Amino acid sequence: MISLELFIAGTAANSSKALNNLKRALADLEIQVELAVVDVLHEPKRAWESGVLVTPMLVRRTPAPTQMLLGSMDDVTQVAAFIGATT
Amino acid sequence: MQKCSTGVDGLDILTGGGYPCGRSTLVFGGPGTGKTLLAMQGLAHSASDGQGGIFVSFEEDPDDIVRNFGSFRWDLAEHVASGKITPVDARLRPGTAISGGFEIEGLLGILAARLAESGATRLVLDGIDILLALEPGRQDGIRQLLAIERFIRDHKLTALITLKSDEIGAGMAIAPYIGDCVISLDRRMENDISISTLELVKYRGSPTPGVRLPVAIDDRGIALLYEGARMVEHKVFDDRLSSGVARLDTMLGGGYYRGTTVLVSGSPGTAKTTLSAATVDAACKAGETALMVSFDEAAAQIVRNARSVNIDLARHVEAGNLTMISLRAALAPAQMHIHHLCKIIEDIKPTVLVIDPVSSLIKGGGKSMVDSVVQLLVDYIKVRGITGVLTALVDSDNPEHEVTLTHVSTIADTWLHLTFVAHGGERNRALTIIKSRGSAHSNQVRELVLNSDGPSLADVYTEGGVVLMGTARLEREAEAATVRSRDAYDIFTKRSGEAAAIEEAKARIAALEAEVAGRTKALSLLDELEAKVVEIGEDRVDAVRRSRSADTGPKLVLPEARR
Repeated sequence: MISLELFIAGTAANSSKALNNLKRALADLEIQVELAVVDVLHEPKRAWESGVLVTPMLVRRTPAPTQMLLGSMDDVTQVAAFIGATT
Repeated sequence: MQKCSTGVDGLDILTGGGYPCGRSTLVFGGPGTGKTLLAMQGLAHSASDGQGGIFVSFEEDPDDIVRNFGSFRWDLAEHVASGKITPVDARLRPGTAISGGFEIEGLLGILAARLAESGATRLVLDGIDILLALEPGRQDGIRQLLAIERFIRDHKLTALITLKSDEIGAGMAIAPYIGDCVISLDRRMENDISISTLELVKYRGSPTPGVRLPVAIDDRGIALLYEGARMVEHKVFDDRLSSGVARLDTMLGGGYYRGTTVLVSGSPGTAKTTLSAATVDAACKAGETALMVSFDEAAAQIVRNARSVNIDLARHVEAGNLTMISLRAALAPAQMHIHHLCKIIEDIKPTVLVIDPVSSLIKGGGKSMVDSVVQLLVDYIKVRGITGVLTALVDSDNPEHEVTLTHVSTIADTWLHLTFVAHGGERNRALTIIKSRGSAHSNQVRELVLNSDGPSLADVYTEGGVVLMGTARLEREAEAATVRSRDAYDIFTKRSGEAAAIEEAKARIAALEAEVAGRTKALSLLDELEAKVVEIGEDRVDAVRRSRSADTGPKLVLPEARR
C-alpha cells in the first residue's frame, strides 16, 4: 500500500500544476495509492508538523522511509519513479 | 518611519534608530561575514524587550545555530524555551527530489499561521537564496522575493532577509532594489588579517553615510565600531599629570593636561616604553588608576625592565592601581583589539591609559580602517576624561614623514619624539616636543638619560652645528665646570687682596692718628718751654740794668709767641 500526501498552497500556479500532474500520473499507474491533499493555507499546522514549508510538496509516507518531492511535477516519469510504481 | 533596534549599538546609530519597522531589510555578504549572527542578535534583542520573533533557516540546522550562539550573552536558549524565538528548519529534507517549479506562498501561509499563533512581530529568513536557487527560472526567484516583500508589508513584520553576496552578483541582482533597507557585510584579508566591515547600502527615507565601517565580534555578538558623524564631547581639564620626568614636566609647562592624548614616537630602543612606564609610575603614585596595554611584550618583562631604571611597577600592580595587559597584535585586526580594549576600559575605568605601541595596530591592515578605529579609541577615552599615552614605533628619523603616523599624530594633543643622535662613537637618546596643545612648551632638544635613578633629561650642547650628547656632553660639562672653578678662584683671590688692603689702610690711619696726637703733645710742651724762656730773659735784663744803675728802659718785648 502506498500512502501519499500532497501539500499545496491554495490555487497557486505550481500547486495546481502539481495536483493535475500527480492525478495524471496516478491514473496511469495500475496500483492502489492512497492520496491526501493538504492545503497549507487551511491547515498550516499539519504542514508544520510534517516538516513541510515549501509547496507543492509530495510526501510518500509508506513504504518507509518517508520521501519528499518538491515541485510542479512536470516530469511524469520522475513522479512515477518517486511513487515507486515502476522500480 | 518607525525604527526598531538592531541590537547593535553602532548599527542603531548608523541607521538612525534601527531597521525599518514593518518592512524588510536585506543583508547580504560572503561566507563568515556575520549575516546569521546579525539576524539572530536582532531577534534576541527584541525578545529581551518582549517582542517575539521567528527565525527561518534555509541553510543551517536552526538547533545548531541556537547551540552555537549559546556562547553569546543573549540568553538565546531561554528565549527559545519561552517561545519568544521560534527557530524553524526550512531546509529541504535530505534526499528531497525536485521536479519543476514551486512557490513561496505555501511557506508564507504556514508562517502567517505561526505568527498569528505566537504574536511574533519579527521575522528572519536566513539564507533564502538556497531555496530560491532551486527555481529553474530566474524570473521565478524574483517573483518569489517580491511575494515575500509583500507578505512582510502586509503583516507589518520587521524582517531581515539574508542572502549570499555572490547571489547578488548572479541571479539575485534585483534583490537590493526590493528591500527598504540594504546592509552589506564584507570580509577581506589585509596583511593576513581578516578585516570585517559593514556598509549601509541603502535606507529608504534615511541618509546613508557611504562608508564601510569596522565590525568586531565578541561575546556580546557583533559590534559596529561607529559613533556617528557628530563630534563627540571630550572632557576638558585644567589640572595636569606628571610625565614622570621632572624636567619634561617643566618643558611642558607643568606636565600633560588630564584627559589629553600623548603620542610618544621613536625608533626601536629609544625608551618609549620606559617613558610611558615613568608616566604610569608617577600617575599611580598620585593615586590615579592606570591601564597599561602592551602589544607583543609580556607584562613581566616590562616590569623587570622598568625596575632597572628605578621604576617599580609591580608595587602598583599589587596595590591594584595598575592593570597590565599584554596582547598579540597579529592575532586580531585593529578593530577587534580596539573593541576589546574599550570593553576592558569599561570594566577597569582607568584614568590613565598606555597603549604600547599603538603602531602595532596601525600596521595590522587597512589604513583607513585603522585610522577610524584609532580615532574611535581616542574619542572613547577622551569622552571619559582618560589621559592616554600612545607610543608609536617609527622607522625613519623624520617622524613627520611617517605615513602610518599621520592620523594618530593629528589627533594627539602632545607629541613627543625620541631619536638616537650618533656622535663621537656613541648613540644617545634625544627628546623633542613636536607639539603640545594648550601648553607653552620648550622647543629645545633634550637628552633623555636613563640610569638607576630613573629617566631624566639633560641639556644638550651644540658645538659647530653638532649636537653633543652622552660622553661629549659630559666632557663639555666638565670643561664648563673647570672654567667656572677657575673664575671662582680668581674672584676669591682678588677679594682677599682687597680685604687685606683695607686692613692695611685702616692700620695706616691709626698710625697717622697716633702721630697727630704725639705731635700735638710735643707742640704743647714747646709752648710751656717758650713761656719759661721769656720769663728767664726778662729777669736777666732787669739784673743787668740794676747793676749798671741804668734807668729803667723800655721793657724788652719779644715777638708774640705761637700759641
